Amino acid sequence: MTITQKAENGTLILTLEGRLDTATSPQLQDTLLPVFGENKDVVLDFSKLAYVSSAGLRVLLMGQKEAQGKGASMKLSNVSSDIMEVFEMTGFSDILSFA
Amino acid sequence: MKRSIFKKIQKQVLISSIVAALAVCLAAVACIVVMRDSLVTTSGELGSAAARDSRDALETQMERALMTLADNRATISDQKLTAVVRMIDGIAYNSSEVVSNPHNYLPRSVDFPNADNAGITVAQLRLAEGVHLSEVQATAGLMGNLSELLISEHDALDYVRSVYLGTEDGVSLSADGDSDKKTNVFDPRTRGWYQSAKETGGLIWTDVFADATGRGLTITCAKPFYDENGIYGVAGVGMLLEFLNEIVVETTVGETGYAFITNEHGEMIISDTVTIDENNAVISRNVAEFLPQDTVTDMLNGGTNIRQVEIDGELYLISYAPLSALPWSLAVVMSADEVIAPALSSENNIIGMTRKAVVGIDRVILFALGVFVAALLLTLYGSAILGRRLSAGLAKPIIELSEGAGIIGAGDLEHKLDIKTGDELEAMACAFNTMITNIKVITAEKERIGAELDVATQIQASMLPSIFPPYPDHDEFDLFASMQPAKEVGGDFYDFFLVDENTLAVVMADVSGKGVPAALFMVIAKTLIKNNAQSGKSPKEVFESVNNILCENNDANMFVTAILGYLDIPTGKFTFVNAGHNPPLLRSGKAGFDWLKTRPGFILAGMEGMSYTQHEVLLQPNDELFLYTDGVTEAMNNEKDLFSDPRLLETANNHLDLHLSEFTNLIKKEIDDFAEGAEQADDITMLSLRYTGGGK
Repeated sequence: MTITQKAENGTLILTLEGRLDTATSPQLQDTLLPVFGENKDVVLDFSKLAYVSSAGLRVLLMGQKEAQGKGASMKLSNVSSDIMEVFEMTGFSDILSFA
Repeated sequence: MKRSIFKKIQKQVLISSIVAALAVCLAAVACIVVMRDSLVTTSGELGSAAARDSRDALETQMERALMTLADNRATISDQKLTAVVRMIDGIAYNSSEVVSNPHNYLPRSVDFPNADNAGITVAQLRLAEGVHLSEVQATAGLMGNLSELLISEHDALDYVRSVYLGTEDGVSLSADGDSDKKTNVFDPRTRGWYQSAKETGGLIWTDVFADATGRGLTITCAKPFYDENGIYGVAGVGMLLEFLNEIVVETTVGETGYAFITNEHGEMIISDTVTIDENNAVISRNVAEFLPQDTVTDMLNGGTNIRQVEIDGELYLISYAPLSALPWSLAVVMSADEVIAPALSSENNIIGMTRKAVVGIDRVILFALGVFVAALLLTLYGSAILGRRLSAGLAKPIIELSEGAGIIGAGDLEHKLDIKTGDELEAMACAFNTMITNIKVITAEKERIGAELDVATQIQASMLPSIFPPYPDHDEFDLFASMQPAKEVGGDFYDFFLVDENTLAVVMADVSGKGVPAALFMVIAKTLIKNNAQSGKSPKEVFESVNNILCENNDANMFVTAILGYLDIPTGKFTFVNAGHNPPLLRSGKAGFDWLKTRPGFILAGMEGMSYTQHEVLLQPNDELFLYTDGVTEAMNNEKDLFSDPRLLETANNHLDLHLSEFTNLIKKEIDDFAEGAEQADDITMLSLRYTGGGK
């Protein structure tokens, strides 16, 4: 998985490309959790993301909690219908914010 | 394979030796070749320069020599001729003196030629035909006074053949040694020399003519003498030109050079080309026949010069100088080739020497090449041996190392590498041994963990109810479940238990992650759910309670997706709650399976204080429920395609009315077929529940 960071109008956009699964979620965890200290608005761009496994959901949950704890916001954008289905099935659609 | 390092080193040694030998030899040969070229060039330049210089010098020198020669020969020739001129002047003067003063002289008689006097120089009197001595007694007596003079003059020069006087009245007095060859009759007045001198009134030279007595070419110098009445007679000196031949014709210059004298007409009168025919006529070549006109003109005009002329297509040097006694010119001719021949020969010598040197150098080059080839062969041989030794020395421990690593790799961790080379290889073997020791420790640790995991797997397996049918005394429902972990211990679990005698609880859950952490979390979740359910709580209350408990101390942020359902055995009412788990399949009536979709609640352990909604569905007899984890729908093949919800639904509907265990096995088989050998990434857990009816 490739993660590209881009700052735009005070918002940090992380674009994820590939699959967010057991193998790649530690990478996202290492990248995502530290950003909330400096960035108040973080957007995860899912337009190039093909798949999210339960390990990926775990990192998203950790990110969500970290954002809340630091008073920041984490939003997901361009979520494909397949991935949205996973979010809905797991109830994540209720706790995640979408841009 | 084993020998490849050996060969590589050997090859390397060979190649570097050959390259070095090649480089040295090529450099040496290149130097020699450059030297050779330089020598050839220098020597060639030196040769031609030397040749050019020596040619110029030789030409100059030769020209000067030729000039000197021509001048010298002309001078010598002239001296002899001038002596004759002086002689004739003296005779004419004395004769004039005698005939002008007859009263001063007594008459002296002279004898007619007497053969007895042959060879002795004597004065001889001869008279013209028809003239009697009595008629010319006075003249003859007067002339007799000149006899002594004539004799002494005749003997003064060895080339003077005859000295004589002729008079107008037909008297002739001559002094020579040819008394035996003469008659008493002779008319001087008819002779050319007499007539020419008389006509000219001064000194004349006759043409060259052949001596009547066969003594060679002769010439006569004549001059008139006078009394008070005018010409009294003519004095003459006849001489042989043999001395000129000695001076001129016998002068040889080199191989081809020759000399000649021309008269004022250009006739080569003194030359080895002169011949005398049967009529005693002199035949001579004319220079105009072979010399350029300007040269001829210059020569006949008394010029002194040296010129290059072309004769019969070849270059010659001609040098000429005039005589002063006569209007003659003496010339020396020499082939230009011969003049420069020494120069050419020295040039050829130098070039020849250069060639010899080049041949010598070529021989040296050949020798050097020979030495090079020999050196190369020696190098090849030497480096083959050296390379063999070197590579054997280097490769042997490497091969031992490689073999040792092979033995260890095959599983013999007790094997020790024993290499004592005292270099990096020994250090490497030591490091290798240390590594093996460490690997043994790690392996032992791993084996211990593996053994413990085996135990853990057994514990986990034993935690899941695995006896089917589980409740032989309940025929209202049938139930089958299976779990196949992806690793030794998995995060999935299923459970079923009787909450009370009319309520069967079924659980299907998936802990995020896999392995030991997931398994530990699973144990907690399973225990909590079962304990809470058995305390009389509704499914919704169970999940809300379990969620809050799991959220405490969940530093690892693990979570669980789960379905908990209660089957009211008498009525078939199925009350369930879904915490973020895959929707179950429900087969209701005779139709096929379909999703039992409800809006699911949030996962367990994700966030504290979540509330869950429970749903109900009334099962009719023979209705079937199929619970599973995402290990089923998200099983992947090598192309990363998912087994997917639609394929699960289709597979289920294609195999209706099977025994529950058969159905589960069939789904598992379909997944295996789909995966095409791709490694199982997630636990695969399934539970089938068939409600057979409440009427006991």
